[in-house]
Amino acid sequence: MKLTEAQYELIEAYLNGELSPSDQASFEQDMALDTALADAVALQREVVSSFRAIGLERKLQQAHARWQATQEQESEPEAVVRPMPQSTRRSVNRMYWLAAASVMLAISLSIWLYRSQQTDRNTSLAFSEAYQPDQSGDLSKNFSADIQPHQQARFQSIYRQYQSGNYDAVIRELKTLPADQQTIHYRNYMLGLSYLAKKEPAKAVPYLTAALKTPTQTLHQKSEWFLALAYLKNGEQARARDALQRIAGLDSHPYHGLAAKVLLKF
Amino acid sequence: MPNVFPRFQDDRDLYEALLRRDDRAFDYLYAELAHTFRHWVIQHNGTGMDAEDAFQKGLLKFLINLENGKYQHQAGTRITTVVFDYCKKTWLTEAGSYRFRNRASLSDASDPADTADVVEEMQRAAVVEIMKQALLQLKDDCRRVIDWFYIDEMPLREIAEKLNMRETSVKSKRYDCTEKLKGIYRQLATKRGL
Repeated sequence: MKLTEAQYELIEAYLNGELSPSDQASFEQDMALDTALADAVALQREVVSSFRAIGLERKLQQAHARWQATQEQESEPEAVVRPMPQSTRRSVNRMYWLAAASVMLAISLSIWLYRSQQTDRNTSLAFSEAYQPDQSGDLSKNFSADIQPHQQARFQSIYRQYQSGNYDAVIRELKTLPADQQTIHYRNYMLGLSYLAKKEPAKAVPYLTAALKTPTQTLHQKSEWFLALAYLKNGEQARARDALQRIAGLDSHPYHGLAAKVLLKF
Repeated sequence: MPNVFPRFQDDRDLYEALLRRDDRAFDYLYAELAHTFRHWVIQHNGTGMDAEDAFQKGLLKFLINLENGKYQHQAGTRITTVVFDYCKKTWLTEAGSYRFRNRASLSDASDPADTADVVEEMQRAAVVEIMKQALLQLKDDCRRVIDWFYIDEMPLREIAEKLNMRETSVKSKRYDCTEKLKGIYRQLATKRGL
């Protein structure tokens, strides 16, 4: 049922409890007699409650980020500066300094090792949680108009191979495919995806980077997402973070929610 | 920096702050519960990541129930205890379904989550997911209006100021965009069998 603006306003007022008791009773009577109206009210209620839940989700993500920031701050070791006692014997002083320096070096190394292991573990966990092969199946729907039908059919067949997990076959076939301007971006994207699926992110990165040159928005957005994951898997945290922040900052990006989630994990 | 240890006079005070969506109240629940819950999940064969997920989901479920009136605060009840229970239940449900998928037996005596509750929660999550997708398919101007009005709960007057429009025009735009959103939502929901 397509509502008029007046009907929409009335439903909003009803759901917000803004109607007078008599108007409310009469509106409820109308709903009891008119199932289309009752359905329209139910749908509007779903819209309102879903968006309230989305608003809450955002608030919690922000609270989580604030909490994580305080945790990081608390775990930051504080530099303690103590005045050194003056000694008259230079050799004792030198020995003291050497011993202190060795201890400091050992502590710094341990902290560095611990942190790098923790970070590696976090990025690896973040990747495992976020990575799903592209199973959207809509690659073919987004072919630009200048791709010939026979080329489209070839890519569809390659995509089906990818979906069934035959990544080596996909790579073999794509590498023998003659490169042309119409299909080069799809070729690069599929090669990047396949290497990523084979857990070879270093090989995936250049292909996904090249795929970003596509003029097709959907393919560009997908390439951005999988490139961010390839960086993550490859241990390139700064690049991964930059790419994810860019995606998370674009409300229109289909992966912006996922990117925001991954950013919280490492 | 946010105040990580905000103080509330009592649980009633905390309850009202949560109803107002006061950031201090969310920070307080994180500071009070996140570590303890993480420890509990790890003791129950989960990981730190599982704990974070279950904590977010459980807390969200609690806050939704608090806002729609399903959870009513009663004197003498500790809100932190209630939230912990919600998160615990979320984790037990997820761990249960994971074990089921993997055909492993439930070795511990976990209290099974209420089935109706789980089904309801899954339906709610599915509707929210489709609504998010529908929102993404709207044009930028519509998406902004819907986002500001329904998600950020910004008054129409403020939206009008931001867009440099008259309030009545924003009201009509909100109507128009909401109807477009519902159209997309219906199509997506039908496709997903909802």
